[in-house]
Amino acid sequence: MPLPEPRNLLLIPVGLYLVASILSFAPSRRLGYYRAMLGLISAASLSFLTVAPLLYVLYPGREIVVLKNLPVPQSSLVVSIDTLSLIFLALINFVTLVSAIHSIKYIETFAREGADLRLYTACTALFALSMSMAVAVRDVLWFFIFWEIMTITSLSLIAYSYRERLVRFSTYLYAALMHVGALCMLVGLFIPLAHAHVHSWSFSSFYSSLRSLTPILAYASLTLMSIGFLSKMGIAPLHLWLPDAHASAPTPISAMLSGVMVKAGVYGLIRFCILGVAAVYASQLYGFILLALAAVTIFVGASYAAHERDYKRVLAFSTVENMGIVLAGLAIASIGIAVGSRLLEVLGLVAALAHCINHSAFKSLSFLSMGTVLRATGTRCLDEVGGLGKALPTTSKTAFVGLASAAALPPFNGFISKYLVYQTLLAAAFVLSPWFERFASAIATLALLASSAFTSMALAKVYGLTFLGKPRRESVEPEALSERAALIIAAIACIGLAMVFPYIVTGIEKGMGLPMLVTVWGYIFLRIRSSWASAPLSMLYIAVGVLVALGFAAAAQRSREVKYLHPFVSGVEYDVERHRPRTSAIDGYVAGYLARLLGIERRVERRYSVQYWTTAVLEYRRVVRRPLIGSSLRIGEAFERVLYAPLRSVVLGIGRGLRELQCGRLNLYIVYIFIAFVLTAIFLAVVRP
Amino acid sequence: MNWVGTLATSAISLGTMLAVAPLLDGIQRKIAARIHRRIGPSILQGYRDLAKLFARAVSLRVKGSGRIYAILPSAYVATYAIVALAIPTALAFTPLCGDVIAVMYLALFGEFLYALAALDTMNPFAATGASRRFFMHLFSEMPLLLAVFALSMSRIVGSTSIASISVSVMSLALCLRPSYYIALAAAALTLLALLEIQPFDLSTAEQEILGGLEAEYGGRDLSLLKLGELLKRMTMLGLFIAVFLPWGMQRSIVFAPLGAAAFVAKALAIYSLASFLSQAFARFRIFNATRVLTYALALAVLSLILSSAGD
Repeated sequence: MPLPEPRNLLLIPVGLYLVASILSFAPSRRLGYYRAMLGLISAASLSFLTVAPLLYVLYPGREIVVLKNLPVPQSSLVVSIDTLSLIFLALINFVTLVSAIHSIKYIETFAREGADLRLYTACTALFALSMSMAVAVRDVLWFFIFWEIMTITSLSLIAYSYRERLVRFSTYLYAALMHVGALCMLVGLFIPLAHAHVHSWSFSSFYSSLRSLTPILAYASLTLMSIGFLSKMGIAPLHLWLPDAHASAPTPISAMLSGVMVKAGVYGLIRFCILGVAAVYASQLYGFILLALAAVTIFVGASYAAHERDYKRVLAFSTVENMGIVLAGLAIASIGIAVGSRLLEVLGLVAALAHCINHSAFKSLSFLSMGTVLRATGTRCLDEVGGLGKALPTTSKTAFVGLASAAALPPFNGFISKYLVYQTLLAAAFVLSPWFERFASAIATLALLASSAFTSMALAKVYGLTFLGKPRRESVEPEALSERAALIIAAIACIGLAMVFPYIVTGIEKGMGLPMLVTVWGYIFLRIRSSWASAPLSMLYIAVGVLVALGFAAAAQRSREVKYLHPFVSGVEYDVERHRPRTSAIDGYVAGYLARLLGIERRVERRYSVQYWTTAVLEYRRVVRRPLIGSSLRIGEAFERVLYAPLRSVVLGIGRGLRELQCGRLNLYIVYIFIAFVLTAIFLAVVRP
Repeated sequence: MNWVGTLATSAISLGTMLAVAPLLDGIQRKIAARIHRRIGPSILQGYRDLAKLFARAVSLRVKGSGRIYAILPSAYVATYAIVALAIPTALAFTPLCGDVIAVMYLALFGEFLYALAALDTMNPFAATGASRRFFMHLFSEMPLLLAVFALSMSRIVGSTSIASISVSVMSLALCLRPSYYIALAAAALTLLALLEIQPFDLSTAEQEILGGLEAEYGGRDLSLLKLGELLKRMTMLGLFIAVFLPWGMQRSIVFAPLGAAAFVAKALAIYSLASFLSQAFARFRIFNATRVLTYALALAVLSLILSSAGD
């Protein structure tokens, strides 16, 4: 009996995911059963994490036929794992793994509410499977099918707590934007294939059909595909669904949405646009449009993150910002391909992919940490949690790692790839030639600069108000072992990525077949100019320095006599509930400034009356402009008012106008028929004699 | 040789900055006193204050606060010590992680910890101080780094390494261009804010927010925190000098003392000028401060445009 071929190994993870989703519908009501299903999902993701690199080594760039002779004409399910697919497969399954482990405890809250757990486990398994397959297939039709399964399963997971009005709203928003995006994407993908009259949906025929396109069709296809992928990535102004969906979804699902689903858009953009149509019909204009969108996205994400009072929405807006950073790298890569500069191409692609990897790690860690907080306290409002550091010790440590990485602070992994994006933009400013192109790439760093302080403030706010200070609650549910395991795995991934980052960069360069321009010897060494390399930047030095200093600090503290006092509030007796800082104490200045800049403010009339030392009472009246924070947990965005509200009113206006025609009076309908008859007669008599 | 140069540059930078940092306090108080027609304390008063506080037997702590508040003073000093390692002062070699972006982000890490410690104390004034600090840091980081980028993107430099910018500026090739002077003006305005002296000392304003977070520390902790803040001023001065006024840096380890002396002279001269100017202004309100820094931002963008056009 011959040994089975190694390609059949792929059936193990796929089969495990499918079995998990089917078995979820077994008629069991016990919590333990669904916990076992989550265990099955994590086993599936773990097996994918082992099988994918194996197949990558055994079948380098070769296609693996999974199903053929399908009823669909000219299409067979073909899988191939190249470096790009491998990166995204690893991310997807890693985040699925930690989210599934974290869910083992988290689903208790659903069980208490009496929600249907079958849907949760089944959809999670299908969601992970469809994402994995979408980045592994080599067939346009199947890519689209898996993409849609991904959208539908994520939709049902976002709608999971559908009894809340806000959840239903965000589900509709997500459905609408994804519908538009997927339609645009499908048409964009179909244009080259239809124009070349090829009778195959495979990627190779897609790429070969690109050469025969006319420029107009190529740009049409590029635009439509970009709309599809950018809406998935959450790039402004198509990002509107992202914060609402992330806030509404169960938190482990938010980790998956933010950690990997938005990365599916990055995958599509790289595969079909940057290395596809844009590589053949490259124009710098496309790259600069992407760069402008990236700058706007970074700024929007960072500034709204600084505003929010809901910690899940802060993290969601931070995702928007990070997707903007990834897009900035991709934009420069596209410009590099257009002008024929290998340096920009490699730097841009490596920076974008590295940031994707890091973002998956730290954002899933942040979301899962805050998920523990949400499960333990039941509120998403930053002003209602507080002082949880003592009740949730592991979570508070992992949250620090995740949030500091998300704030792009040096010893952690978020900084390194952000640094690469800075280098990419500055390299573009150095390499390109007309002055406005140099200026455009240099000024894009301004968005990154603005974002760094905004997001670090927003995330300091999240960490400080959640974990530090005196506890606000008497009893908090302690963290479970499974939660701790998931958080520690993710935190180790975060710190480990920072330590082995140089090897990741080398791996990306080698695997993608790019020249080794971002050369690495234990530290980042960017040769933008041969004589003077940009500075070596070693995370190890910094991390070791900080650790040594902290060790000394801890040793120095031990032998001191310490006297404990209440906080000093100008001589008044300290009252925790009255004096403890709230969100507005931290973000007040930035929020006020941005409110003025973005126009999110309301006018409030303030009255003062001051008892003067004589009998007179002085009355003051003043109209002040206050930022719209504090009124509700959801801030209406500037884009909603400027772009979407007019669009909505136009569409509704057209609809209302059409409704006037359908007034329901019989004589008017007779008039319509008469007009139609006359017009037909005229048409037949005059136009076609 | 390369490694020796790197290590020597870093070690000399850290040593010089740590040694000179307390002098800044004394100079500022002396100048303020002389302008007020007082004799004022000795220039060495900064060292004496730090030593006296450091020797105190009892540390004061806030009840119910956590670990971040406890380690902040040491962590703050450590962060800015690492920043100091990264800035070349006496020697024009590439120091450890001597990159301008890394330096500013490390500084941001210090401010992040500062804000967390402020929230850890549960003191509303400390939180307000941290909020102001972030706001000011945002508005000073943008023009400063943009001004440096205007130099580093020019075809002469092409790098964000501080040492390579210093070498290019020292060779006078950049100084023939208007973009250099505009960037210098922008960075100088920003430097005033980063030094946190009089008109910009919003985050620790005694009269408004009772010293912010500083009020919650005492004894050894307070002395370390004060040292950290002085070291921050010193590193920001060092960054400004290394990028915009690097003349006097040496290319040989033998002349390192000469380079260090030149650096100390430049730093003290700039700081004296800044403290002299600061006496002419009352403390800004936050939006006045950001308005000044917005002018700096406009200047930085202008220098970026000129630098893109090749000037």
